[in-house]
Amino acid sequence: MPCIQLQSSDGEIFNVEFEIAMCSFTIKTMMVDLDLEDNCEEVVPLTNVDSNILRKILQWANYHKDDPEANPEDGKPVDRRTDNICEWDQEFMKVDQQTLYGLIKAANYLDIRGLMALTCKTVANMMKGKTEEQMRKMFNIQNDLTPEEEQQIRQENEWCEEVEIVAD
Amino acid sequence: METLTEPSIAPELRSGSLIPTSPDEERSVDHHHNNNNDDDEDVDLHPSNLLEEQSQSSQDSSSLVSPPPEGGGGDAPEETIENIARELQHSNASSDSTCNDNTNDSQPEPERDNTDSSSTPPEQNESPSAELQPETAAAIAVAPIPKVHIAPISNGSLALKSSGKPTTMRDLDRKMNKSSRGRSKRTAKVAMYQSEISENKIGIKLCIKKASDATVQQPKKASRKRSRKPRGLTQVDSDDDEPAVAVSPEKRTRRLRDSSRRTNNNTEKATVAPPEEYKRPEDQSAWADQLPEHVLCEIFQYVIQDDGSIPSLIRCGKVCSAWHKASLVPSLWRTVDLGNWTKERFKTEIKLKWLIENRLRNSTDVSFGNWKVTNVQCVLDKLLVAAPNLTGITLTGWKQLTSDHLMFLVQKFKSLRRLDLSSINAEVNANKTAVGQVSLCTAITEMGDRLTHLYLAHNRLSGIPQIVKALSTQCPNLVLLDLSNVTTIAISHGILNIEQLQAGCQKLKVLRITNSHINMSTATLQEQMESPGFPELEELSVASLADESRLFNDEYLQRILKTSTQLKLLDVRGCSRLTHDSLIRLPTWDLKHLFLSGCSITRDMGSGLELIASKWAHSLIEFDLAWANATKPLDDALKALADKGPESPLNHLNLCGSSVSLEAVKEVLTCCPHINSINLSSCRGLPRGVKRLLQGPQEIAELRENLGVTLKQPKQPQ
Repeated sequence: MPCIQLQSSDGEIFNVEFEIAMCSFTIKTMMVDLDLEDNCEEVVPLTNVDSNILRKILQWANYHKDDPEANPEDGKPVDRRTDNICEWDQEFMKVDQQTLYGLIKAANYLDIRGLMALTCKTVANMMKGKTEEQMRKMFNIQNDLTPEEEQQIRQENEWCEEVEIVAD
Repeated sequence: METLTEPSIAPELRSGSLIPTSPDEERSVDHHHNNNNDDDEDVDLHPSNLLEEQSQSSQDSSSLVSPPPEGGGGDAPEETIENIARELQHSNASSDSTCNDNTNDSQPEPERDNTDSSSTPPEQNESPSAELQPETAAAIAVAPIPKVHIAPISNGSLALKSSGKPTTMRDLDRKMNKSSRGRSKRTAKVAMYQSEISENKIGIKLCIKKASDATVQQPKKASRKRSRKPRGLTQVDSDDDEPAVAVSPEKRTRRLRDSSRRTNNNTEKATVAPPEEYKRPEDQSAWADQLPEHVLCEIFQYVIQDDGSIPSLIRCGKVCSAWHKASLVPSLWRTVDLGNWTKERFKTEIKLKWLIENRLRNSTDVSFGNWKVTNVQCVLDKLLVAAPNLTGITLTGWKQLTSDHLMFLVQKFKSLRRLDLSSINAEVNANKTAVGQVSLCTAITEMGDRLTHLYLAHNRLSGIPQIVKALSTQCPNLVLLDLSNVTTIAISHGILNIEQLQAGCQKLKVLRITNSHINMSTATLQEQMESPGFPELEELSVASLADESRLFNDEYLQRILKTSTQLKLLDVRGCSRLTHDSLIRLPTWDLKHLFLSGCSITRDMGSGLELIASKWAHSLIEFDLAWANATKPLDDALKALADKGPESPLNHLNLCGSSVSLEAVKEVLTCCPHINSINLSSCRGLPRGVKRLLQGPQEIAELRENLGVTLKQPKQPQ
């Protein structure tokens, strides 16, 4: 099984099966562009991904290596359901927020569609049915809107029915 | 054609349906509802009332049902009218006290019980209404079931979306109450029965829409200001010449000042926002700052997936500036429900235009239910410019919509597939109305195989035979046809040729004829034999009121469902002519939602109910047996459900007002692991303290504890 070497931002080198690494479109194009396809010696540096995240990602990619490849631009209907996360993935997603954030960033950077969907779904599920204040708290976001902006947003959305949020 | 009136219609009926809706009444109703949330125990305190009510109402139903012969196609105009007139007398007597509680969610109150038992209107009315209330109240308070969203619609009604709740009952109730009592005194709200099996959940989604004439309190001038103000932050603003990149703080503040200058109706603004005062918070979370916008949008996409852009997107937009910016990305505003989520007073034409221009640029499915629009053409023109690729539109309550507008819609919006024309012509036969026979037939023909969803609920229609003919000849892709709450101008205009529809619309999945003045056509045996049925039908609702229920019998059910093996939801509430035989004989094997309350089957002393329960015990998620008054058959049916043991998918069980025995309830609780809500309000055979709606794992667990039962852990069934 041909392998390639991926180097995380903190210098750790991972030997990865070619197949598995190919779940990342970024790596895939890089390989093609740099014509590295048969060259296992070369180390591919992933400057945006640290070793913890990369390990996680490889774990995920390994589990999902046999998944049918999602065809990016063929059909319109993207599956946007958020209640169909498989058990393994749910378990996999039980991580702290920092890791979750790292995974999203990395999935985005590495262009791993399945992982992107999974992480986004997970975050979306966290956000559903929350008020803005609850969401801020959850993600530790500072409200950087000036009072005027807030006022404007409020006015802008004045027409919209306030939602009664039910704590869960 | 639409202006044709049926000479034989009883004057009460006609005038009743002409009485316009009044917002005031609605409001009073709302207060009522607020006051009554916790009357729970009262019901228990008046068992005698309930008993009386029950017996009285069954008498009543029989008297209503008995006179006319088998309801063939359109054979019984006099009977109908006679019936209605009689009902009117009944309900006139009691309308004042009754119409209040019917429209809203409140606990069953004793005084209502009294009135009802003294001057009982058609029977199902109070039964379901009484039973619904607790549930709503509970939902308001806790909403323990995941995914219950309660959307207070501005004038107080609730739009409930829940996954697989017995909420349908509530809808039906309102509707039933509305149309039965409302016939004598039309209540303000036009609630429409709307249930659908949502694709990704086990449940059904419900929502009550209203077409009311609530006054627009906001003067035009004010909304104008409002609609202009937001420009400063609106990146998609059409005539905002600043590029759509509100990023840097400096720039934002500049724009703020600009906009404040522009609008000058907010005086503090200019004074509070000198540019240098604005400071970005130091340690902003990475979730706000560093997430690329497209990732944020991706997340938002998932958030808004289930319920459309509103209101989730609005909330996300309030979190921080980066999120706000992302929330305005046009591609997120695809499915936008401005009907249920807009406060009534903002439903003005100006606001709508602003929203169309600023928010709906990329929309494909929009709902403008009950917006007050006078210049319809102008709005449609703007909509065409903004969102030419619209695939679905809801125009509920647009009474101004004419046939010309409808033509414009179907011709100009080339992708339009879903058309909701509910409550356009509810009371009067307006000339040129969009839901006139010719108008509809032309539109249907124009849309042809594009048309997938057609809602004509709560309209006064003429020429249903012609409409159905147009559908069956032109629209092979029709998936949903909603003819709920439809009144017709004459019996002959309300005849639904089932076989014709079956032949032409093989893809039909949802058929709603709830509470409508629609009768099935008669068909020769050969026609029936040759018809392919609706092989893909998933939802059939033929629930009806006492006065109409006699029209729907076993034969019709068989004809509609002859090949519907995929059926998931069947609502036959109030159908007092159905026998269990026809349900047993249905080709459907995996029914998930079954609503039987008020149906004659629940009164049958035989073993019909048990057979039904055993037939679908393996698949039923939601079972409505409210007001079933034959203890033995009911208990047997529950035992049949319990027999499935751990395999039972049963989630919601409605036993409200039934004569269920404690043993049977215990058995269900012991054996069915997935029970998530059980309605035991007003059950005479049960001890005090449990007679209410219990939902959510916690309440169910408490109930088990109260009754001293424990859930049988995965064991052998049978």
